[in-house]
Amino acid sequence: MTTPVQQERFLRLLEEHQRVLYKVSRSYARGSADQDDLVQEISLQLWRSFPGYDPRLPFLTWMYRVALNVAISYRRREGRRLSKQPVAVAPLLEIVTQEDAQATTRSAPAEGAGALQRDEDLQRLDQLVQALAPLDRALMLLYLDEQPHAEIAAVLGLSVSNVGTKISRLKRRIRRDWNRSANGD
Amino acid sequence: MELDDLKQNWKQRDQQLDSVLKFHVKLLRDSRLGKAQGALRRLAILLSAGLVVDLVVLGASGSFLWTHAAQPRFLFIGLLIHACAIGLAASSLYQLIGIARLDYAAPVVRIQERLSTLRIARIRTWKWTLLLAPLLWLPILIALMQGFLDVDLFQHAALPWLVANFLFGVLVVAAGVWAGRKYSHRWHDANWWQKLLRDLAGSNLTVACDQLHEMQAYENLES
Repeated sequence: MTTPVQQERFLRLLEEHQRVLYKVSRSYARGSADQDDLVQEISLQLWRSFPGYDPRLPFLTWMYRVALNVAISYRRREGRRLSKQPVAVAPLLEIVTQEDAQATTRSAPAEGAGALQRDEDLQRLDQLVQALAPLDRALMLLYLDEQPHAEIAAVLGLSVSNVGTKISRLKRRIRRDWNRSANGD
Repeated sequence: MELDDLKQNWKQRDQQLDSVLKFHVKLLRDSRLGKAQGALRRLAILLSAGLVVDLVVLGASGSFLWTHAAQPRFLFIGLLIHACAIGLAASSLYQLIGIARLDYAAPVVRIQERLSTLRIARIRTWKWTLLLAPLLWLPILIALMQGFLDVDLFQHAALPWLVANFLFGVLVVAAGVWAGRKYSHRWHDANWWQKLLRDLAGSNLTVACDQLHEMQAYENLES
């Protein structure tokens, strides 16, 4: 049974780690309506699972497990559906000061050019990550998030050596695909 | 390009996110957390109700078997219905326990394997229910008439009528499988209909089995 105290604690932790919601939903759903759907599903599943949360496990590891499980299931379930209708309710997670960030970029042209190149690179990286199979995508997300191999192994349920091997292979694959896309293949 | 260089950019974007992301805690608190509990309760009620129906059918067919054990024609029909009811109840119970034990906070590969296994069980049950229903309605009608009204359809109905009904059931099954294979890729807007046809044709089962193998293979170092 969840109490108001538990609810407050849950919401505080969720707010603290909101970036995980954003990154996972961005990697597994396309379009803002689908991404918001996924954020909602992950938030609700986190809330359902929260009474069973063991504080000995880092909250981030626990959150990644739930979020990735929901996201992979969502992707498999909704894979065939084309997103056509926008979500009617207000989004749970949104970027609120994007205009401010863009204004800062405009006011500093030299920095802005570097930022533009960086944004393009990240966009290409996003596309390459999105093209990976669901489990590889989870692995790459955790790797880019600078999680240690032991932590990735704990989230996914693999051995540490297996994680290392798979990351090396994925790095090679992404490098190859990156070069291909750069050469316009 | 090296991925490690891009990792730095990725990290910088993460730091930027802190200032631009807004998580609407109030929205989640006001309308959604309460609903999450309600949805769980509804799911538990739905699954339990299904199991209760299965158990009632199991009890009724068992009772029919017991009272008509000496009449081979009714014994055969009773056994047929009872076997189907056992299969259905066992599958419902397996799924109910599986869903109750599902812990989304467990490692991703393990949970995805369990989800695929449960999905396979659900599709198989649904497929066999769809395939057997047109064939079983006649034995069920015979058992109901005998059990509740004491009317023996073997004596009152003509044999050609019984055979024609059975053949009609076979035709319905064949037509269903054919339609499933031919039309399951169409009607993208009619999700439930497409899903039903894909379940019937077996293509959803193939996809679910492939996903399970993919999960199992992922645990291997060489995959």
